[in-house]
Amino acid sequence: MTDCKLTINGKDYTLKVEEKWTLLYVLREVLGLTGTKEGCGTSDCGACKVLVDGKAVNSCSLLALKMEGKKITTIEGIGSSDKPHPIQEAFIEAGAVQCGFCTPGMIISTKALLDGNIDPSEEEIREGLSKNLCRCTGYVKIIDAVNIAAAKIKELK
Amino acid sequence: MSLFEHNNNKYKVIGKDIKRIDALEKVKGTALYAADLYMDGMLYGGNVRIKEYPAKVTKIDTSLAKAIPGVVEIITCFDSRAKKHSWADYCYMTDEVKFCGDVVAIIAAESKKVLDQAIKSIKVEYELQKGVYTVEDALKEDAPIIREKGVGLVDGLPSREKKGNIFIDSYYPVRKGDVVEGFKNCDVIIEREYNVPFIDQAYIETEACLVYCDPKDGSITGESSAQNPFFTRRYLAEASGNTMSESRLIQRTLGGSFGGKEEGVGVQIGRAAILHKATGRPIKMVNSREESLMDSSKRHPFNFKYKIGATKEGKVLALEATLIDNCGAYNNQTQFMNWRSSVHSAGVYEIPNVKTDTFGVFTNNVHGGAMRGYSSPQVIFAQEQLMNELAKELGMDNVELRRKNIIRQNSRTATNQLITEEVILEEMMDELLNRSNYYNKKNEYEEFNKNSKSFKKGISLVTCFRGAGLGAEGIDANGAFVQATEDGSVIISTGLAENGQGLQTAFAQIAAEPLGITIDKIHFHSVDTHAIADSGMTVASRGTTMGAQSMKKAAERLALIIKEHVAKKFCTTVDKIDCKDNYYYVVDENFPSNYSNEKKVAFKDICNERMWGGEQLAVYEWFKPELNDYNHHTGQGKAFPTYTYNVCIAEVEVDINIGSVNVTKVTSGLDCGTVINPNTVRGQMFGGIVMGLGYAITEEIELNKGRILNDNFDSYILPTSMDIPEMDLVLFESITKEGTFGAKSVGEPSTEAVGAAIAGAVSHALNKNVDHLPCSLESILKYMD
Amino acid sequence: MLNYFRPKTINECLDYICDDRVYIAGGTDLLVEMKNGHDLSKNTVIDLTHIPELSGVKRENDEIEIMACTTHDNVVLNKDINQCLRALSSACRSVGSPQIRNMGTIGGSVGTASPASDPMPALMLADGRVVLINKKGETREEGLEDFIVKPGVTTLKNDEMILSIKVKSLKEYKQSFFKIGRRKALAIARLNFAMAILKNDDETIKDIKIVIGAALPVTKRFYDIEKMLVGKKLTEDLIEQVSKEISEQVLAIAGPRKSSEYKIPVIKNVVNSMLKEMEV
Repeated sequence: MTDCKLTINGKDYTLKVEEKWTLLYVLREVLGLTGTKEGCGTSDCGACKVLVDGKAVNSCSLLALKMEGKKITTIEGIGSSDKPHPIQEAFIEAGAVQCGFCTPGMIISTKALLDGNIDPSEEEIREGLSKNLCRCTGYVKIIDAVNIAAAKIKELK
Repeated sequence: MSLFEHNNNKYKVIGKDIKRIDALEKVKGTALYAADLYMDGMLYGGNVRIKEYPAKVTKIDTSLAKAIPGVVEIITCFDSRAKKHSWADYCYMTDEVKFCGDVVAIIAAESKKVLDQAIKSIKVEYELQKGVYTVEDALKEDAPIIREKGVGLVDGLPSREKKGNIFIDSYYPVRKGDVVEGFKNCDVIIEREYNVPFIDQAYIETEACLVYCDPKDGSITGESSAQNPFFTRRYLAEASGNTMSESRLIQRTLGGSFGGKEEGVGVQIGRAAILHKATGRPIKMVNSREESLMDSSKRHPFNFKYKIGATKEGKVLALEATLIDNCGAYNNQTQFMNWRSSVHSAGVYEIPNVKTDTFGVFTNNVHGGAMRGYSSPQVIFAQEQLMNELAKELGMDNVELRRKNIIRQNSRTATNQLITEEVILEEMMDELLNRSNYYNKKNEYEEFNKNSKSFKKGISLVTCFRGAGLGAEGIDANGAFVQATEDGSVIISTGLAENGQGLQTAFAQIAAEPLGITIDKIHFHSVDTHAIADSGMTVASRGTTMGAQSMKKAAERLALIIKEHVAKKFCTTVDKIDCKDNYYYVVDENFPSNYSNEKKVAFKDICNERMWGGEQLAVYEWFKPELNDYNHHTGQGKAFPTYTYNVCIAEVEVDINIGSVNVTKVTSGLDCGTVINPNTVRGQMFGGIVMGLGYAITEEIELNKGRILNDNFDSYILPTSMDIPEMDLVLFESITKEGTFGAKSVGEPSTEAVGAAIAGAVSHALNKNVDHLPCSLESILKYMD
Repeated sequence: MLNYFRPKTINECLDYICDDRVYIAGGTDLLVEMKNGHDLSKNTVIDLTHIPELSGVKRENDEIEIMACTTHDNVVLNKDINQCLRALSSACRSVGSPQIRNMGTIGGSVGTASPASDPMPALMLADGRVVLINKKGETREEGLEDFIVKPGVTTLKNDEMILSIKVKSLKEYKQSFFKIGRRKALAIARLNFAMAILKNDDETIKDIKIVIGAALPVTKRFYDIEKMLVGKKLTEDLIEQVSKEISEQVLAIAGPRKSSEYKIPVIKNVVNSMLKEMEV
């Protein structure tokens, strides 16, 4: 076991990790942050997405040790318990949530997209979501949610 | 016109775009799925499997695994504590491995990492046996017999007189009229064959459960990603040796199921229960994606052989067919599912003479089970390509051929059921033809194709119907509990389960409507088998149409109790009381709002009064539909109480140089009966279209001697957000006395026609008969040869 | 026990190199391997992502050097690549998806030696050479075709690591990259193609480069065809002849396997249409 300091959702955690533990494993099994899901374990579905220094990446394919010194945000760090983030509100409004299992990953990808580009075209939205698989919604309402979120965020500014 | 009107005022809450009541916890990431559960002292459970099938296990060496620190228990198939067959045909553990999902040993360990290590350290010795992997081989005279109960063919039909690989309980004949006579009167007769593969439900959440015990009384609890909590409870009780009343199943937030989380979840919870009994500690089991693909049920592959005949005017007179599906090595679904296939085996057409035989065959493969549609996507695909081929042969327009033969009010179906309710199918066809600009596009595409060398465009319309609910397949009975509390908030419980489809919200609307309260006052209590009676499975798209009938009854009865209370209060009669927006009032037309403030009282105040007054505030109701009069030997009779009608138009562009199919647009029309929640219906339709797209173009379980070659999402190809077409949804309503508030099925109808429509469009583009799915890169190139 | 090191300079990194070393940059393939049973506890893992000198694109006249840990995404955005080797930025854009591109690197892509690698055809198009450095600090260069031996196997020695990939600028060339996958995103190439052409004033070919990936165990460049085409005009007949010849060459090497049924005619069709487009 090795010492590892991780910064997650603005909080510092000092942990002992095994060298081959993935970030997903640490989030769910060690820290109890179960909002990030495992859908495939091989970087193919996007359910495990988190933000690392602002980029949306699959936590199932990241060694926890590699994440020292990086700013990690999980779904638990989006919005707060009393005030949901505009993206979260948008997902509810648009009817973009069905079984909800892909939802945290979708929200993370949406945040990464909108943080980099507050006015994405339909094509850019589809590309930004293209590594998140969804089996329930057919993606349409999720794309709607991204548009609604962009409008909300612009209004707040 | 039967088009659904948004924001109509027929009902207070029904038909409104109510936001999903379970969405907030999901966007926050706080919704708990079974894999998110943790408990002190919990152990992780896992499975040991072999990689060749079928095989007889001779020896299992656990010494290395036992020596790993953190390994708490290992139970092999030879252990006295092991249980073999479950009540539903599948095995918890076995030494006679018949397919890739069979488990030969189970392990409990202190952590996931130790568990993985232990699984790898188990050494299994086995003798490979001769297997049978295709239906064709399984039906040969000299084929090895996979199951003791399998039967063979006599004169081409399944018969108990002979041993073989046919699952006799899944054999359903349909005999209507006399096909021999029928064919004699036909001017045109064609014969065609179609094939479709195994595909997976591919829900993003894999199967997971947590099993633990109540030390007080020894009752066992399982929290699980179960689609059918009561069925899952049966596995829990059986494997643990507890009675049903001492086995409790709590359904956790379900990450999609589409029919797949039945037997896979059941055997999983059984294995967890066995480990729990052996260790005395809570056991958590979570399937990896690879395990989920191996162990869970699949959509059945089918081989269809058709003979169909019509007059030169296009009236279909006779249809003869065999529909043979691949059951896999074990099966507990085909015997129900094939009944549905047989009922729909002549499509949504009125054909006077029908002779079809549907049966399933065992092979050493993954098993066919339930997947959204439950045989309909397969049957509709084949049927609709067949109709297009017939139209071609007749020199007739595809749509006109359908118009001449579709079921209407007072038609008789293939099972000779008289359709007494209104059938809006033709109206739906016309609306969709108009909206999609079908004929202009068809001509435009045909013109384009003449001159284009690399790209071909196509458009196709398909029609179908679906019996709503379980019909004569089973008893569509269900129970519900509605409990008002002293502050006017209401708890509702049902035996039907939220799969992600929006059941909670729909049921809340159905309860809110008669009670006159707003949705935010309702709390939906997820299925807990201790809290509500077995209401059957959440399948067959019966959730709202049939499954909510008891909820409606219970809410109506409670509303009546409240109205009686209010009537007494204002010294009037019950028929003068109405309710809305959390208030009950005496109706008085003299006021613009229909009531005066003196004669109005808040629902919460009545509840409070009744609670302190010791008056009833909760109601339990049971609903059982009329029994259908159906003869399973001839396949004749009333099969379903009502039917959902469905029209789908797909447009494609095919690159014939590389074989890629780009689905450019899908126009989907659904007869919903009554739309309970337009938002969730549309969600189902969008999702259903994309699922149908996967079926048509990219999805296929690739098997080699029973081994799945594409066992994760890099090679089992699901559509991404970049692959979706333009989608135009058209919701229709129609009159039916069946169904809760007249609601018909939506879950499966929203996907079952899409694959057929896309295949039809590809067929139009290439001017070839598309005779199998998927329309992969390789298939397209082969068609062009 | 897993040995895990995170050097901050190339020199520090060289010190860690030993026989059982495993390099991790993007890490995506490596972790998938781990999941599939490859036990890394006996290895020394060297994390390359904290070495600034190992990332970046340098251009010197006609040669571009892409440092090994440059992510696919950074290649897509890089000005020099976009000006001089557009085929590579298209190829990198098509790798997996936005998110894999963030993590996957050019060095990792080359080192993994996958037959379906998307950047590979574009790198070979530009006479790609891999620059290797050993524990002693000595460097050597090798052409990609020599470096890649077969799927998953390169000539990388135990005491070496990939420093960079050098490519020639094809600024004046008309280039294209085309990938066939089963869906529009997250797709593994069923076939991929890269082509570049430079014409004389009289429309005859001055130079042409043709590479096909995912058709054979190793991405292949068709030098003999390229030589044959120099000085000629791309007529419809010649295009037909060339595409037929290339597809037959692939068939001869690959043999009559099941996938040939699809790949051979498609190779012919795509080479044909790509050449036609180059002509326009």
